[in-house]
Amino acid sequence: MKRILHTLHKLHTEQTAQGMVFGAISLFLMASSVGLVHNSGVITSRRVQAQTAADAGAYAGALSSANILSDVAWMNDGMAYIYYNLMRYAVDVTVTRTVTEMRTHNKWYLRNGKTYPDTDYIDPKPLSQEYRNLERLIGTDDPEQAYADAMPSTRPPSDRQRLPKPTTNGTSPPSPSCRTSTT
Amino acid sequence: MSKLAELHSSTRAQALAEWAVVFPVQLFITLGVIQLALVLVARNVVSYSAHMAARAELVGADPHKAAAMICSPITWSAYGERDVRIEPDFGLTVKGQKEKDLLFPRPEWQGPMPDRNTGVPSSSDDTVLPGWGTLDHSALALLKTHTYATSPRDSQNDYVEVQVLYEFELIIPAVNWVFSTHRIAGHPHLGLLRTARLPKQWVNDDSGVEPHDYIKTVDTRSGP
Repeated sequence: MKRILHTLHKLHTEQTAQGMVFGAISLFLMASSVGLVHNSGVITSRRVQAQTAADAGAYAGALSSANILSDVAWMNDGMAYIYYNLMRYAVDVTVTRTVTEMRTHNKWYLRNGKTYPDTDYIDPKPLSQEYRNLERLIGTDDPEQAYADAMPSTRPPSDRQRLPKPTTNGTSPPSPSCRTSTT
Repeated sequence: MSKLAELHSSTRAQALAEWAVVFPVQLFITLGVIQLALVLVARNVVSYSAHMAARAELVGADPHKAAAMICSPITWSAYGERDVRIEPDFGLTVKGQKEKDLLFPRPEWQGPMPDRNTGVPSSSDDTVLPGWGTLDHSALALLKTHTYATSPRDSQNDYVEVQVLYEFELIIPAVNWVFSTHRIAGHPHLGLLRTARLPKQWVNDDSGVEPHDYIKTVDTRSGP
């Protein structure tokens, strides 16, 4: 008991290493501060990295979508070109056939909603520009023949036309100098 | 005479005397290290806010708001809630310097002089984050954060560059004047200036895909 009391009294009165207490506290605070700085640096760095990765992903997705839309636009352009030419060809064929039939029968029944019963021929000059273009396109005064030239498969020449016809008196017929109408 | 000799030779309370000499120095150094650590943390945060401000400028958002939102956690309210008025008092208490030698704003700052009469931040100016709630001190951070785009989004450069100048309040007593560049409402502040630069990715795009510039109009009158 006496020894314990002596030790306690010695601890109470001893002055060695008093500064170590405050030094330890200061060291702890300084180390904590360094850790705080390091921690904040790591956090901000990771946040910047995460944001950069998210932005890069979003940009890559938007770029891919834009490229696909651009490809679709190219395809739409080509399809519009092809469709326009097909429709132009179809309209040309239809109008040409109609005008051919009209010139074949040489009658224009309707013009501007009025009838011209006594007129059997109309000068093409007052007609529309499209008609004049078609005239130039056909380039002949024989529209039926032009139609036959344009679409020969619709009216194939028969064997009777092609081969010379044998006659009973033994003389060969004159060879056809031009095509003859089969009608 | 014998008493003086006795005092000189006595070792009683020697540690107390030594402690009285060393303690202020050590306390000053310790507080200075703590304040330096806080400044470095704030420097990190301002760097991050500059990055986010540059990103906001890049994507067409408000860079000032983005920077202030990042700087809100380092905006102390210990003095701010008591005396939030930002007064034009620099040049008067900046470590005895003349106005032309002011440390704030930094020489690298290219933007206009920060407006000192920006008024009192109100709680209605606080930023509300969805799913989080009101961001503390964000209204005050809006006043203490200054943003300037040195290379804005619509410039000819292939990058966006934004400067962020943040007025960091130094709250550690007895050492804050060491780091301070100016005072706001009597409280020492440090102007932290950070610059961030982000590339415009769409300028130098090497994906090799040719963009379709326009859809050609099909003219039925003249033909293809």
